[in-house]
Amino acid sequence: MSTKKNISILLFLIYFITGCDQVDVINPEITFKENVVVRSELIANRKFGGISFTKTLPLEESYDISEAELKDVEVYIKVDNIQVIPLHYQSNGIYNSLYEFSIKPGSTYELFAKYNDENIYSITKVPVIPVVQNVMFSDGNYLQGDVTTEPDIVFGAAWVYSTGTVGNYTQASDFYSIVENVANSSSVSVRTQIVPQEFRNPAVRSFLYLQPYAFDKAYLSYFKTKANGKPVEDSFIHGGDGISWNVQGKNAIGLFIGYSIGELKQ
Amino acid sequence: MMQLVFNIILSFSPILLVAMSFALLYYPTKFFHIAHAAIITSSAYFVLFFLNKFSGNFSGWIGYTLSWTKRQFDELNTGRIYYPRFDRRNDISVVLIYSFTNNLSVSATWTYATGQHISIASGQFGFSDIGLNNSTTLNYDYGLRNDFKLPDYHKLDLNITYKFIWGNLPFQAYLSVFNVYNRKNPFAVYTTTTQSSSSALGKPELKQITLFPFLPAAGISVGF
Repeated sequence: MSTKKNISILLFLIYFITGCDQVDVINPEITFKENVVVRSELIANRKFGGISFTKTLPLEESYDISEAELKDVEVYIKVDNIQVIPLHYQSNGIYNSLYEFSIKPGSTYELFAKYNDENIYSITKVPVIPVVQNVMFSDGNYLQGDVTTEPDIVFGAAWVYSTGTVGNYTQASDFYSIVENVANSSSVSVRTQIVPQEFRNPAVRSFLYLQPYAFDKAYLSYFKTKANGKPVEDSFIHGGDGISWNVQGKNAIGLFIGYSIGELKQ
Repeated sequence: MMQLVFNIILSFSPILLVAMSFALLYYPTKFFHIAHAAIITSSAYFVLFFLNKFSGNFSGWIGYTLSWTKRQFDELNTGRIYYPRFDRRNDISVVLIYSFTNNLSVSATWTYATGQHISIASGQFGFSDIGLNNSTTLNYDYGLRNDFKLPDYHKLDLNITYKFIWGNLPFQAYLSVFNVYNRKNPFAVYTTTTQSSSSALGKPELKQITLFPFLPAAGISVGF
């Protein structure tokens, strides 16, 4: 039996020299669906900062807050199913109360809103202030510690570099992870992003702290999916799924989330 | 998994062959990703028609497939059924070959496929991240998964082949043109943000990647 071999010689292939892919800006017909976008963070022991109500805009436009803000939303929040606080439009889509009040750790807050005859609802629990123990510098490049858990709460940690003087405060840009207590243990381990080299130096490491964060459980899904709404940098990856929100309602998206921030710990 | 395939093959040998195939495929299954389990329910149905003429100076074949493919994940697309990217309603291939002599032949291939389903943003919104970095960025509102259909894919390729013997070795020289009418078949469409003089957050821009435009090629091969 004989073996036959083939050798091919390509004489010219113009586009492999100049590139065989082409990127064009296009303007396809896309059905625009207007959604109400809600945003509010309820931080334990801090003053309520209001709730933002805006709407999505078509892709053809440049984003303009004056076009996106909603001025005629009927909205109130309910605290622990007892106290009702009406909110009023202020500016740039922000609705706030007529009087200042602080967010109570351990309390449950509900959002009730109505826009274009559609109801919008959300509920969140503000965690008690998290306490971290057994903080250590792991693998020489990040901090980790154990946080005491409570049900339906998830946890994150940030590294903080602070000398105690004004202007000398830097912290992580984001959480390394958000963790939940899946084993029903009394504590859960949290860790920070990698600490930059300049703050790892033993001479300045005494100014490095771990700060624990505790969130309503809905934050976990948001954290895992929040990158979905970002522009696509890798042209060979399509846009993805939506972000996981905890605001409910027809044509409503957004996050109404309670969280608390623990003390710096070394 | 349940699969049912039914084939009909009629051969008018040595000139013509007609084949038809019908298939139903359904499989609920379980797979693991990251740290949790998810249930996928998938189904695929297709009808395939194939006509082949393989003798004489003029030969070629026509293939047509009509198919449906669906997916359902409890944790994707709010649990709703969606069409995966490789779902193709219609798929047509036409190949025509004409041999002028034993040494010289020309061929044409035309392919067509229904556009693929992809996810594309239907709107934009400004949103300040909640957590450590509270800067406001432009975000895109993706609706249902794979809710947008790319334009249909089609192209025509032409080829001329000449066979000859040189030094007792069989040579084959060819000249081909890929995508003769330079159809801009989209490979991907994605959303980016560009700078804008009227918005600090920038302006959305949809971009399309096209692969393999009009592409002439020539070559020579030898068998030994």
